[in-house]
Amino acid sequence: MTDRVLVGFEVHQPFRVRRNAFWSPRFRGSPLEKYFDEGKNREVFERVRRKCYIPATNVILDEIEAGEDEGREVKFFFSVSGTLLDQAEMWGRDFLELLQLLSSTGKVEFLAQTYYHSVTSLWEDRTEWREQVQMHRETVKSLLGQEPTTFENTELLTTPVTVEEAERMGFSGYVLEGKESLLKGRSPNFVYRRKGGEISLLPRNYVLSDDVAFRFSNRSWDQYPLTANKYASWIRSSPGQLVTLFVDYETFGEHHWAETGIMDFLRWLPRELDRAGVKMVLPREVVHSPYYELEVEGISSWADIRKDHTSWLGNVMQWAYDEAVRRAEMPSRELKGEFLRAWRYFSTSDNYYYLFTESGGPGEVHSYFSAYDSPLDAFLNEFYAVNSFLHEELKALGVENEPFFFYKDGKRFSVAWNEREFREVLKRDPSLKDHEKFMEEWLK
Amino acid sequence: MKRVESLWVPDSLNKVWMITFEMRGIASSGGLGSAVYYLSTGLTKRGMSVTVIMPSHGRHLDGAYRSRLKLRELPLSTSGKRRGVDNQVYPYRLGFERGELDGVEVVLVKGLDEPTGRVMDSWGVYDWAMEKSALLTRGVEALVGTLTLDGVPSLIHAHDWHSVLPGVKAKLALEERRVVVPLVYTVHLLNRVGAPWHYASSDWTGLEDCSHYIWMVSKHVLRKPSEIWDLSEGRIEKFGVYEADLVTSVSKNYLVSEVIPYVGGMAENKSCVIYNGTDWDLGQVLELAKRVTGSEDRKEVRRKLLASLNTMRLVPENYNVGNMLWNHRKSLGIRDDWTYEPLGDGQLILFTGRLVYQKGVDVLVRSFRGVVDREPETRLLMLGIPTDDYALLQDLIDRVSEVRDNVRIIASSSMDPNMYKLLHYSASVMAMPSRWEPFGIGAIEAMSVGTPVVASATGGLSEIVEDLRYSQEGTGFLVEPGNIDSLRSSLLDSVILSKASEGRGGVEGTSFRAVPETWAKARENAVRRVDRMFRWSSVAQQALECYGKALLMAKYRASAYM
Repeated sequence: MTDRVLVGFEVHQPFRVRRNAFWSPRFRGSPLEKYFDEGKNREVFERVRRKCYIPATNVILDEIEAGEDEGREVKFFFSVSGTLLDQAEMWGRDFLELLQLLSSTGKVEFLAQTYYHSVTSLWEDRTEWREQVQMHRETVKSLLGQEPTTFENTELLTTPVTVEEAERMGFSGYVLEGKESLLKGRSPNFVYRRKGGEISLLPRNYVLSDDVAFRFSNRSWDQYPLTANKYASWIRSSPGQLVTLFVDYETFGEHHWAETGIMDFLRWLPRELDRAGVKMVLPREVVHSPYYELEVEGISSWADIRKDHTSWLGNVMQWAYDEAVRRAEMPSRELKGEFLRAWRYFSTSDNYYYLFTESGGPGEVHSYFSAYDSPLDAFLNEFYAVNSFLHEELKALGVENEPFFFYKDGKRFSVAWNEREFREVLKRDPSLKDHEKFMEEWLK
Repeated sequence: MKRVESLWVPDSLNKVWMITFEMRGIASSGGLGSAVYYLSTGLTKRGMSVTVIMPSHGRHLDGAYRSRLKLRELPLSTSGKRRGVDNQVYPYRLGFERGELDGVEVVLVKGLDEPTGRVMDSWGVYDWAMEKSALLTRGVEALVGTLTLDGVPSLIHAHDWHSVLPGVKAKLALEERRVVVPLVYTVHLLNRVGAPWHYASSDWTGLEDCSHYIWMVSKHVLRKPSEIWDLSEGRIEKFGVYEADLVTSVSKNYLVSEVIPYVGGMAENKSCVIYNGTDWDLGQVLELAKRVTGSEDRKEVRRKLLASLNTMRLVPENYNVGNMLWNHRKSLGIRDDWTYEPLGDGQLILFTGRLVYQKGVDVLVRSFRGVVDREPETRLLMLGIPTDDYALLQDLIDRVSEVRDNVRIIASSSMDPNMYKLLHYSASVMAMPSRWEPFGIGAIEAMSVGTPVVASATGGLSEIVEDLRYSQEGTGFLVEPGNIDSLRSSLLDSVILSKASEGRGGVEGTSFRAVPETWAKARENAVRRVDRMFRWSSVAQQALECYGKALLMAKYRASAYM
């Protein structure tokens, strides 16, 4: 029986590439205006804000207060992406203020993630990823007043390297997917310590999480309707040390509409947990209590059935899009400002996710989340957009030569377009030094 | 006895019937036997006459017991027929043995024929527990039948669920004769046992289904046992709580957080706490230390004991436990002759108790690793009673192997009692990381010889241990149950403080503001606290206060008939 639970939410909205970036291209304005769909992004944000962010956060604030009155601890953790914070600053300051209020209660922990909710952790060159994590950490600190100590990589993407790097960046906890092949048959309901390291791993209990995230309003589910009371008893009777629940925040009011009773579920859950004898805790309170050691192997994420990286980098369209994004890295860094920001928006995982082609259960989920009619349609527009963007940058930098591709251990590492960029890449990884001998020939 | 209208009510408390399955010196498998023994002898010392009524558990068949208890057969027997749910008839024949143990009268209920004897006289205390309880009820009924007004007890005290039906039967049988005797029911440990009404009914155990008054929140109301049984959903402990005039438990915390939520809120205003106690004595242990190790200095005693583990030959009583430990003996410091490799000098954390999940041993070994990271010279000695939780044992073995030079597991319950006490005395700190614990006798034993305790804040432990961080009278630390980090931090504090008290370091590393004298003070506080609250003499006093309350409740019950 578990007597502790971690309940957390992923809060994220992407900046979507314009739906008709190819069919009716724009040639004037800043990169952000030309390639990204402000109208659509704002419309989605405002809808979700109205249906989920504001009401759900109010429920949580009410319940934290009620808990204080009744001597219960009501605690949640949040992982809010930087792009969402950007959008909230532009289009919904009231939500930002509610988040600040949550932070001030002391009952809510904010995790660190990648600022742009990107898949950059899968790149061979992790410079950009580290920068995005650092940016996010600083933003959470300045906007929400908390220094995150627990890390959650985009979509729980986890490899041995991301865990190791997170430890090196000073995080003491890491949320990952409680995938069977990762846990090798062990229960997700424990705090693990990385084998050979110090960082604590918190595997998400995806079965219990998905009961809320996916099955809550499914009338053909044999457990329908799911009540807070029933759910609390499931958590209580799960064997182990603690249960980690982590779902999209949009579950409350957007994925399941308020009419399904999801808001009441959220409202009553803390009380029912208390009644069942389950204490709500925060990651920072449990990371110093690892129970087992775990050797992290392979790639895992919380997406779809395969729970790996293939939802973002699994087909040729995604690879091509990713390649184009990576080619634009160094020029964007050189040009800075709006170019760099626009480029980072391109790196957001959602723009990769729209290119997922598999049908069936996961496919349906993808099309639900997609801003496009089909993956093909998405590819056409996104690929055109990112390439136009790249060419615009190259023009601005006066580059007319071929790019230089760096390879490391047989894998493509980085792309440079001129000498400055070339030297910059060399600085990132001294082991690439032997590439230097090719530079002169390349620039001839 | 005093006559009030047509009823007889005890006017004072001078004669108590204890109904129990365990009594130290006769048959005992856990803390219940000690509690009943010391409570009974404690009451006897205060001039009360106490009769302990229990199943024979076959002890009367053993000459040693016969002579020690001065057993002789009572000229009384009872027989009858019970009807099973299968509509078959099951006869029984019971006899009685009367004896004496340290001033306490003992009545053992035994079988007079093979089918009855097989149940009542089986050696294992909890073999056939349901049946033993049912037959004990029949026996108690016969004993009540022989009573004259002079012999009527002034109070019946039933211990744990096995004694509920015998206790209720005694109360009801007396009430039928218009004698109102208070019934006190003590929950030492909730077992959550249930049965359908047939089990308790006149067909089987022998409760007549007649209306009688029971306490319901604010008044006595007329109810039949079958109605109360159904109200209790067939749960014997809940039924016992409805029927009893007073419910007691071993700690306030256990009563409030476990017993009352299980049995229902109606128990709240007729409840009382009777702690357990200990007879361990610091003076005796000091003498012992001198005799065995030639020194009273804890540091010295500890060093010698840890170095002498290679002379302690202790084999686990449980074959599988022994087998598992043996297979890993090299990484656990167990030698080929079942003695143990000595541990080097250092601060000692002691654990005693069954090796089960409830005791939090898994949490302990994990926390301990964190302690060793900071204080590499710390030792942990686990004096575990083997159980059949083999998965947990395997986990312990794996974890202990990682810190082989710091830990020894001794999974045996046959350690020499003197050595057992000395280890308590020599320890720097006692660890009781139980996930739940009604009372926690281990904590008061350690404290009685001046060893502070790091315990989970649960059940009785949170009443026994005063936290040093919040109290001048602190006797140790209270930590969150199941929390590895919280236990690690308090164990580490204890080790640092203990070291400082022995002049081997400062108190800078502690997580709270402490002075070098803190630990010595905690040791004194511990001894004082046990003397004040957890001696059997003070426990008997608590019991008397509760009995007074029960008598008052019984008088109210009597007045309900008027």
